[in-house]
Amino acid sequence: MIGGFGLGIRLLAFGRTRLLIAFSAIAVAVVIMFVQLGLLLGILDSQAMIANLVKGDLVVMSRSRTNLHKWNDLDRIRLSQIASQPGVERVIPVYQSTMGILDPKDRVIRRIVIMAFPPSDVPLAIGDADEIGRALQLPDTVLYDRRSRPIFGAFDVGDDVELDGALYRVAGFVDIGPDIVNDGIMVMGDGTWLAGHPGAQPIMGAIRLTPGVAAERAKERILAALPDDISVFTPQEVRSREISFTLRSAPIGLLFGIGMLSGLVIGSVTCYQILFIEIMDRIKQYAMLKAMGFSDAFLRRIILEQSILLSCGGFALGFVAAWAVYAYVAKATFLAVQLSVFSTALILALATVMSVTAGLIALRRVAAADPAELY
Amino acid sequence: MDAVEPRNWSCLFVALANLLQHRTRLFVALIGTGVPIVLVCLQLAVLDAAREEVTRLYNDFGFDLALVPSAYQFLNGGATFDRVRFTQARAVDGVAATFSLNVRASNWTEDATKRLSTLLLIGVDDDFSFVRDPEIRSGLQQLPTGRSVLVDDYSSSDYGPLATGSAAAISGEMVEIAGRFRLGLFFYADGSAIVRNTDFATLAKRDARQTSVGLMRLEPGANRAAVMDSLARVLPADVRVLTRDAFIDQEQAFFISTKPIGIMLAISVWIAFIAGSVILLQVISADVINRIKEFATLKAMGFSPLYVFGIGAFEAAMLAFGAFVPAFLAAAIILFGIEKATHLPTVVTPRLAVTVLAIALPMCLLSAVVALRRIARAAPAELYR
Repeated sequence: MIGGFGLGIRLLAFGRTRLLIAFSAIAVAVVIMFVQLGLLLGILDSQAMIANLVKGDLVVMSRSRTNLHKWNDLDRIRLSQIASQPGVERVIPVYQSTMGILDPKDRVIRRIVIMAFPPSDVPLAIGDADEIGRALQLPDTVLYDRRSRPIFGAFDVGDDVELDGALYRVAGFVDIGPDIVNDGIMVMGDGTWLAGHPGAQPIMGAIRLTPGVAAERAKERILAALPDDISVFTPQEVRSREISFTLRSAPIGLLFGIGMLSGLVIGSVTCYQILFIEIMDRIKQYAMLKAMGFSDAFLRRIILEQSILLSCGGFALGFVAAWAVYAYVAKATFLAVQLSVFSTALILALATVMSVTAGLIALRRVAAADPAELY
Repeated sequence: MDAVEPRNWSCLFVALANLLQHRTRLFVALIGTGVPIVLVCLQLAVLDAAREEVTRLYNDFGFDLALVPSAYQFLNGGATFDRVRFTQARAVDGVAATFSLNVRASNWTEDATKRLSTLLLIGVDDDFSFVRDPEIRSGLQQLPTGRSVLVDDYSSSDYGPLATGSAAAISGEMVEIAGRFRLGLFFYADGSAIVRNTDFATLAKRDARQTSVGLMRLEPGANRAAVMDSLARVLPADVRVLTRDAFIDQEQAFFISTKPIGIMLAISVWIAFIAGSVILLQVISADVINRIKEFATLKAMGFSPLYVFGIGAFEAAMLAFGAFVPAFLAAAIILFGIEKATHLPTVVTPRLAVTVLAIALPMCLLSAVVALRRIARAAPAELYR
């Protein structure tokens, strides 16, 4: 028993080239899991982005708005009706539409998303609320989302920008980020928006409750009191609804959903396969140890040590590579593709569990067999 | 050293016997080889399908040259040029006819449920000889003028049942569905609809003088390069002339290199390539290294290194082929499912089979050779450690 620790490491270190190949094979399995999972999560996150940004206890939308990328209007009167319910402090309207933005350099008009809300009460976490409020109070000012894809031209504070033929002044920047369909966003005050589009209806209302009022209770009260052309959700519900919608919507959710599943399966199978080969190759050595009188528990410990070492080493290598791939994808797509704690934990667990299982299954052969038979 | 030369190709049988000796091991190796092949197959086919998908609309039209605004990026990019360029182009010798194809992002409201969806509105000229797709052509021929549209059968289900004669609104203007066609441009919008150009300006709320893309047909026997030269001389710099192939290539390249979905699909293919190759390397080399002593024995007995390499290479090749058949079948089944579910043309083509085999086979052979390199270098005795 004594001196057993470290034997696994020494066994692995015995063939340097082999160790390197095994490490890199596990690393690519890890990379493929990371990339496929990251792409899917990046898409889901970008599509549900507004839900993450809403500052409110509840969100009201038109009932026909089955996902955040359908911009069905909400009757403005509903916002006032909700505001008059007990327990509701304020309801802040959010307007959303698209406008044609003129690129002064090549004279091309491109479609950009417009979001508008009252400057006095910014309902989205997209930057410093006071600064945004001050900037948007002036009529005909807009804020440009600095994370937009750089296809619209360059804008600086104080520049004039032509939207649907009318001039607006860029007063600053916000942080939102594009999704897979829309490339960029301009933000304006609701006064500016309504001046250009009299009678425009909001697409969403952020509901602030009086402190101490439970969101669930308030939601039930609002739904009971108002006509059934609205839906009320907590921001978290909007987010999960959007994610399940994106996953179901063909073809993008399906394509990347399949990609993610196949990535996880292939990654796990590979980890398993590599560990299995690694152990089977040394089966004679293990048989020898067993014949010498070492216990099965001892062998199990060595194999466990090797499995964990291989999967962790491969994981570390793969993690670094995945980080580089993520950085490239995020830079190229302008989507929020980032390493999350969730995916890191999931993939580390998958890699380790698969490796250890493979090692232990291979070991069963050693334990079951008569040492002499293995030669 | 005097090498024993046994009968030619007998190394093939040695390789086969080696593989068949341990059934479980063979099975594990086949799975290990097959899984990366499935992966590469899937990713390649999906990328190919997406590539084809983004130019499906252009493929439905017959033309020799395309006229695009100089700022043109892709189908839904929004750049336009003045229709007067058509008149100028037709004045050039060799240009037989021109055709205006308009595209604009818009929205669709189903009448019954008032559900709102994004729409790619397509406007076409009345010269149907340019339309290659039989469904679109016959649909257009019967399309009454004034607020009638053909709608894409593959549009999202929120578009409604799409019954002929039913009503809908395109950016607030009422239209009537007069027929259907099959396109599926989901990377850009929930659905698409085709109208005559006379209606397009009203529905798209765009100046009728502007056009998105111009298609041109040449006189039979006209020299394409010469016509392109004269077009470049006649037309101002706000438009570009491209051949059909160049036009379609640049559309696909833009999608793959710039659009987020394209970038993601392309990176998935690269990762699959790298992962697939490394996994193959690992599986095959492990299989060969297992028998390194047997190979060393053969060498010590006087078999030439070539013969020993031959055994390893045949083992690798047989593993590659053996895994390829079931792997390709599995990929074909999954791709068929994807096609049914998404209408993406993820079809299995001979080209796909050849490409994947062309990646897998050299990779397997390379792994075998790398693993056997030690035999060629080392003295046989050294290998028995």
